[in-house]
This record gives sequence, C-alpha cells and structure tokens, in this order.
Amino acid sequence: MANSRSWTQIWPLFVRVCFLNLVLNFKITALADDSGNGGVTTENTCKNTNYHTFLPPPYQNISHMICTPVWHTFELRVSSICCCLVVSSSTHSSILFSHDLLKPIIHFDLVQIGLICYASTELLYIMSSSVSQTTKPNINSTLKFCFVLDTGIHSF
Amino acid sequence: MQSNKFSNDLLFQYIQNGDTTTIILSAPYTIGWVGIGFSRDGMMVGSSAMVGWISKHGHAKINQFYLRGRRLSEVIIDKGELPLNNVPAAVATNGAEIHLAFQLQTTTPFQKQAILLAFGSKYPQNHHLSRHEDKTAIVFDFSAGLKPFLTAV
Repeated sequence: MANSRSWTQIWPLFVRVCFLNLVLNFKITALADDSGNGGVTTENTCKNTNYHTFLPPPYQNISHMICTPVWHTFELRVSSICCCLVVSSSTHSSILFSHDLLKPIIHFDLVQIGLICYASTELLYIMSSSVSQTTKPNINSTLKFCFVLDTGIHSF
Repeated sequence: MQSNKFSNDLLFQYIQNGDTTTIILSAPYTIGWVGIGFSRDGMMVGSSAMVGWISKHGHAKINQFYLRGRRLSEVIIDKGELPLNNVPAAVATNGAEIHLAFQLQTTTPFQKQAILLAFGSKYPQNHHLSRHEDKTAIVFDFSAGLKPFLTAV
C-alpha cells in the first residue's frame, strides 16, 4: 500500500518534469535553428552597393549582375556573358529577337556587323525577320529557331 | 566562324566569343583574408581559390591559390586551375566590407558548381595563408537565376 501511495504522489511530478523537458528541448532546438540555419542564409536580397566608387574597370561597369547571399553576410554576384558576332544575312536585313516569342527584346539590324551579348544559356528565338530595313518586322510570321550558346544554332 | 541556313533563306553567321563569367564576392572585413574556392567535389583538397586581403600597409592583394593539401605549406600561391582571363582580378574595401572581383573564361558555361567560402583573421605572411577561422561549402547554380539580356554594339 505504501508503495502504491508514493507512486500516486510521484506520478504528477513525473508528468510535469516530462512536460517541462519537452518544452525546454523544443525551445533549445528552435533557438539552434534560428542561429545556425545550417550555414544557409535565407534572405533573398543583397545590399545595394555602388561599385563605381571603388572597383576598377571593367568590374564597375558590369550590369545585370545577379546577387545572392551565400553564407553569413557573404554576398556573391555573378554575371555570365556570351557574345556572338553577327556578320551577315543572305536575304534579310533585320531581325527581331525574343526569349519567349511573345515579347521582343531587340530589333537587330543585320546590315551592320554587330555583337549580341547574351547572359545565360537559355533559349533565344527569332520572332520575325524582315527583308528590308524599312519593313517593320511582322510578329505573326514568326520564324522560330533556338539559339544555344555552347553548341551553336539549331533550327526546329 | 559558323553559319546556319534557315527557312526563308535566312543565313545567320556568327562567331562565338567565348563565355566570360564575372564574379564579385562581398564579405565583412577588418583584417585577415577572404577566399572563394572552386572545387570538383566540395572538398578543399584539389581545389583552386581566389583569396583577397588588404595588407598591414594598406595594399590590396588578390591571388589565386592551389589547395594541394590540408597543410598550410600545401596551399600554393599563384597556382591553380581557375580559367582566369586577361582582365586583372581586383580587390577593394568599402567601409567594413571587402570585395573580390575576377573573371573566368570557360568554353562551356558554369552550371552547378561547388564553391568553398572561407576567411582567416591573420594576414598572409610570406605568400602563405593562415588557417581559416571558418569555412563552408555550397553548391552554386550559375545557370539558375541568370536573367537573359541582349545588347547590340
């Protein structure tokens, strides 16, 4: 009987200790997660740093840099550019480029030798082309091909 | 020079001028060094890194290091496998931040690349880095998030 009574008295205390332990453990885990976070920064924004004032060329002039917080307060900015020189076209004098065949990016004059700079390996399409400089490109007559920078041009 | 012929007799000729990847690493800085390494497997050994610092005399330094082994003597200055182009790498401080800038020339664009980041609190001496205070390895996807753009020159 004595053993049974003392167990009855201890049982609520045991439950309280277990509950307290559970709460404390949860708090400690939450704090560790906030402070450590596995070394990965969850913020998706970088500081607006004006490189013109302290970096030499060409680094101060590079636009379209993508910035990512990577570790602690380290920030990594990357710009990848590939260039192709357009020399001539046998019949067409101008061409309209697009990334999605919906919105034109640039109206490029093929008579002039020019440089196309492209910032990723994504596909690039010709929306339309014209046979003379005075003709406005007709978006409905889309000439579609894909332009892959590392392997050249492939038509569909 | 390559050329392709498409429908409507469109002949498109072009020269691929190679791929240039510009990288700027910004980090908090007071003393010591900051480095960014490129690794095949995410491990330090066998990787190449760009390390920048401002010397005690205020001179900005940035060098490539080859991390041949874990010992300090195996971290070799002006060696490495990074395809740096002929644009000089640059390092500068702005307030309490250091900025390492360099360009890589690659025949095939970077995709997912293991990047090592580290910093040390002591100045490199006699072309030898001090041991890092902290380091990490991440996988950076160079192809993701790069928004395409076009400019005609």
